[in-house]
Amino acid sequence: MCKKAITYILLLIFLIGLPVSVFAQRYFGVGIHVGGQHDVGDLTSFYPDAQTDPQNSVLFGVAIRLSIPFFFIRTGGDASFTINKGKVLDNQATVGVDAYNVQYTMLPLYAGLQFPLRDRGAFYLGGGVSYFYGTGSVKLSSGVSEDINATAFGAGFLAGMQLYVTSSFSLYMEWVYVEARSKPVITTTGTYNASNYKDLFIDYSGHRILLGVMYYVL
Amino acid sequence: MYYKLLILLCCCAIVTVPISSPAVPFNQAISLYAGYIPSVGGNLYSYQQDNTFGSATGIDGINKSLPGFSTATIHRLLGATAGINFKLVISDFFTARVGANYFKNVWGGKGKTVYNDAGTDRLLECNYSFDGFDIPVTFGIIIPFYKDMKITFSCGVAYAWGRYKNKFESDAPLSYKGAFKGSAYPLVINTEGEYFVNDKFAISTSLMYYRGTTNVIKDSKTGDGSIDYAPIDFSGYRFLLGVSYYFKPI
Repeated sequence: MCKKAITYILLLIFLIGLPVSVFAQRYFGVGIHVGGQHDVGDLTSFYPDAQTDPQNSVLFGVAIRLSIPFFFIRTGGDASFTINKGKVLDNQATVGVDAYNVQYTMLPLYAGLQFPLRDRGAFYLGGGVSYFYGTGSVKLSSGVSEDINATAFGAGFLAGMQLYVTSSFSLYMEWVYVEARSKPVITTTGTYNASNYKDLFIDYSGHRILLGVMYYVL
Repeated sequence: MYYKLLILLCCCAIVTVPISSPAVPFNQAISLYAGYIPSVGGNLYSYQQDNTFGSATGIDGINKSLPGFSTATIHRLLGATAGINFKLVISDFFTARVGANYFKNVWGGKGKTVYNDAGTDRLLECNYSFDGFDIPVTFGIIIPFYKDMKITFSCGVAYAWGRYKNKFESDAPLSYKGAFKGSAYPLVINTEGEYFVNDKFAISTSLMYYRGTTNVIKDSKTGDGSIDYAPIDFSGYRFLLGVSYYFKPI
């Protein structure tokens, strides 16, 4: 009876203690986050004098994170959803675009150093690349709407902080910056494009702020 | 001229102050690092790209396509950079730094587009390159975490010199070549994290932001019969990884 009780107690301690000791290492985490980006599809990189009401988007995504004490790899996926479409406010006949709506999926791959703040959290900074697949539509100055289908690949960086809430959960906040532009995908109809070339590219560049919760599996 | 003198005086002070004030708790360190610049040179705007090839946004707007023409997207330049930094640490919490960095484009800037040559569509081969160096001087604060980490935020100004070249060739026959050299004093902001592997060596990562351009510069290549004008843009982010050696144990 006594042996059985000791065995059960040891088993209980092991079962409770194992996850805590393993999770405290925080080797592999999966997170979900929400974020935002201002000026999605920045039209001034196509026509610098365009007066625009910029597009704003909300981002939903998944983060996968591998880490050893001072090195990390971060990947995952993000999808953007439009809060408000971008609009050209003036001189549309020259710019060739009336309004635009860009939605994209982003696949990031970043690596860098992280700085653990004892068992309270971590600050991290990494560089890497992102792949974009964008859809949406552009309303041209001729009144016709054209669908977007544009991929791009770009380089950038990621900076973030994690706050360890429990041994297996943490809150994180990240700032992601990427430089990426697609090839020309649409023929604009303004006087700026008098030769009717396919000239409008989709600019995925910009800053993104993400806020999420991460669960450490290992 | 005043900026150059100021940077020179700051460099001298950072190096010589610890020697002249032995009573103050100074530490010094040397860092070596390398990294990349996602968009070195910015959009590489020049007057002839706007006037002759119809791109008001440099390398971004030069990309165009037309059925029947085999075009290839011209991407912004990805730059590589490497440098050395001398750090002065004052009372564990304050820092003054002087560095020297070299940067050069390593990817992008090549491709084919189309342009309208007096009513005729022509294929245009484009080539861009950018390189240079800079000497940043920054001052900031350090937040040490326990015995193995430091996070530093500093800002200041840099003396930056750059060289931007472009070349546009078509079967017109046409060849526009531009070469621009110049210097500026961009603003520099730096966030750095250091992880100490022992009491003298640390591995580090930095995020630097430069903001500044030269005035518009006249093309120094005159053999092609065209004159071009362009600013040299040093603005942009830099991501760096490196190692630091502290002269005294932390």
